[in-house]
Amino acid sequence: MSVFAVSKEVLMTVIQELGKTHELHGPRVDRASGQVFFERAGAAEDIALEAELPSMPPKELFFPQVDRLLKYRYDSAARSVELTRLGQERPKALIGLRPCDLAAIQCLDRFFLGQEYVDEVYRTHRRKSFIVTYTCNEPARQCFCVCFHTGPAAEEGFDLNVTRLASGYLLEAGSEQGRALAVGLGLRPATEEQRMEKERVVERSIALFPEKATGNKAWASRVMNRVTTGFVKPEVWEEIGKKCFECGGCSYVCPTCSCFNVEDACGAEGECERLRTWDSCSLESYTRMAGDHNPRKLVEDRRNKRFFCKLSYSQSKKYLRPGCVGCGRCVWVCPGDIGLPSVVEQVKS
Amino acid sequence: MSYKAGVCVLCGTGCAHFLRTDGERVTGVAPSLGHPVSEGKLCHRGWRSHRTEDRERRITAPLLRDREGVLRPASSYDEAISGLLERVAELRKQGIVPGILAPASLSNEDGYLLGKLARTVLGARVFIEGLEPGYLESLEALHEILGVRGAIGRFEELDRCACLLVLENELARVSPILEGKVRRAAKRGARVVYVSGIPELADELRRLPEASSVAIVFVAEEFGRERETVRAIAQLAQRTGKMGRDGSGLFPLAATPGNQQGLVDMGLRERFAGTVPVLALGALWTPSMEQAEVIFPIAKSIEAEASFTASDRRVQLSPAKVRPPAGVLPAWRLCAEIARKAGQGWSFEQASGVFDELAREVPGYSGLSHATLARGFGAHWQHTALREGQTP
Ligand code: SF4
Ligand code: SF4
Ligand code: SF4
Repeated sequence: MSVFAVSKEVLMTVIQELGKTHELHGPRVDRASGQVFFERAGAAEDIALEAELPSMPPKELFFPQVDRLLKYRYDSAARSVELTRLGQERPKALIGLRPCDLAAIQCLDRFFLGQEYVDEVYRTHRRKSFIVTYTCNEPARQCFCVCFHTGPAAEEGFDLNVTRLASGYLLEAGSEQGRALAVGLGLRPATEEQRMEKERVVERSIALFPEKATGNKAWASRVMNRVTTGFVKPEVWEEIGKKCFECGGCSYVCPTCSCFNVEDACGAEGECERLRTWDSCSLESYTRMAGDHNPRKLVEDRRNKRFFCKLSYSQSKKYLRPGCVGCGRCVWVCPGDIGLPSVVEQVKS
Repeated sequence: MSYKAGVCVLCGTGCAHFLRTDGERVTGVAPSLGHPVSEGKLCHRGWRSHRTEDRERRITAPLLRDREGVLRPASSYDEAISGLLERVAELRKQGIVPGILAPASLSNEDGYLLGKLARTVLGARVFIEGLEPGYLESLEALHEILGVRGAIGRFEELDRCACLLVLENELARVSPILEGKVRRAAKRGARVVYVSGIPELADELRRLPEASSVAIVFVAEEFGRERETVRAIAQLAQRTGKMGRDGSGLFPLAATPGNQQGLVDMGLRERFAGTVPVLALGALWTPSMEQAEVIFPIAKSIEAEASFTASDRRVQLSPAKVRPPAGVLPAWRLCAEIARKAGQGWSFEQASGVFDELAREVPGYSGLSHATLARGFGAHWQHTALREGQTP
């Protein structure tokens, strides 16, 4: 791996350089509320690299809440349809992506692109992207990436990875396009000492988990075993199911959840748009079929589906890793207090 | 593409959210992590508040009924306003009080100015479509017994109270957010009881230990059907002697979308019950508008800066997220235009100016302004009856 050492100014130059060929996206702190969003940035300086984990998952850039797929108008007299494909390729640079969110994008890549059917819509969003990850110098309260081996530092899948050192930054190139950018800008290779310093940053970050990441304990391996082998009593799922209000929030904020719906929105003049929208396996309508048959009628059957998706080995085969990356967002949004870590606790006990 | 702060008005809980916009489109929603009531959560309706696009029913230009009785697009706002003023004058000459139909989605600023226009300029009555009967009745009952047309306490009391009484378990359906607070209260050791009606509530309150705080929550849609029931609830609450104290409160919750509390606060308390209106306002077409003489389009709540009031009297500011369709005004601005045309010297340039006047006129709102609401997550209007720990 090519490794470079840069100052803050040079890091900005790297981002600016990317901005010439890519839309820049990165963390923005909402001034009034302090809440963080991963959004389109006007300029490199607008990106809040140090901000906490964005409240909404960056998956939105490749898999938006509402994606307009195509436009059509049916002319009933002529019996013809006029059809326009929407959505063009816009190269995006994701700056300051946290390691767990990168792991999640890898899950989505495998889901949308890595199976028999390749999802062209996702591919159009994803193809020309450039990913710059940012090592977490310390965990936040809700983090449990260490339980799922996704953080606090990214190991693969990025184009560039940035780690803040005592002075300046370490820049690791994880892809050919990352390396080419760094070399093209004539960046200075890192010294052995600087590489070692990054290792210490990561070690210290991991060591800080017991003290800082107090919101969640999800030591998941044993639970994954139980979920996979079906060793969870139905009463446990029932108990968990009873707490679910079926809001869908956990799926929406989960960086690896990929449930979607396809719907048509039509205007008064017969012009319609076909939309792909986020959906959630917790909603009754998700598995409802024609004739009102629903194989997952009971809320607990739907609820345990999500946790199978996150915690069972059969699902991990699809993603080549567990379906949970330990970001903790589902804990924030669940009105029933059954975020993933609490489910892990309940299954364990 | 960015997320902008706003308020969910799909029920009376008053959750805050962010809406993501892309040009003039709303393309996403996010919960607000720091909000003291919703605390980063939204319910199934709230998670779909970005999906309200209803292009088929959108009204974008004023309509005027011609002499043959056919509704036609007016050539201009001027023409439509003149038409309106003429018809209002005709009706009044015949001794008929003209009616105005408006939706429950109006903001406080809209509601205040519409009320003022109806009272002082048109001599008309305002009927609100979608005003929740149960909520209206509940507030009237609370007013009779406690002297307040609103909840006693803030929803945050649910996080502190020692004893929480929920009338029926409809709460989980209407507001998972508040039901979540109730369940967390049980977890932290508060005494939580779901009671089915007045006798059980009375029993529970009798058992209440001397020192503990008590919060009573009910879905107004359900219990407000009979004013008597809510009167009884209010009397029982009053008898505890704890209303107005920390951790205690009485909370009727509006289940119906719209600015239910805010419009009642602004004095708009008449529900639409089929009277033929001379004027109808709306962003979206409804069948009840069909018979109006004049129809004006108005901006949606996400298209104008405005305030809304939740069921616990929290007044929150919601900035504009997208622009209204060309020519479409927020209802308050339309009202100001009509008044100006009718020869009144109203000079409101901004929603904040309307709010300043409303804060002077509407009981409880004094001291509030858009500037104060913009700090944090809004502020509660003060009820005078219980101010300074008075027992009502
Ligand atoms: S299940 Fe929860 S903690 Fe795990 S990745 Fe999804 S949102 Fe994050
Ligand atoms: S966030 Fe919680 S309440 Fe909502 S669907 Fe998920 S598990 Fe159910
Ligand atoms: S509980 Fe009410 S205010 Fe909160 S998100 Fe749901 S509908 Fe909106």
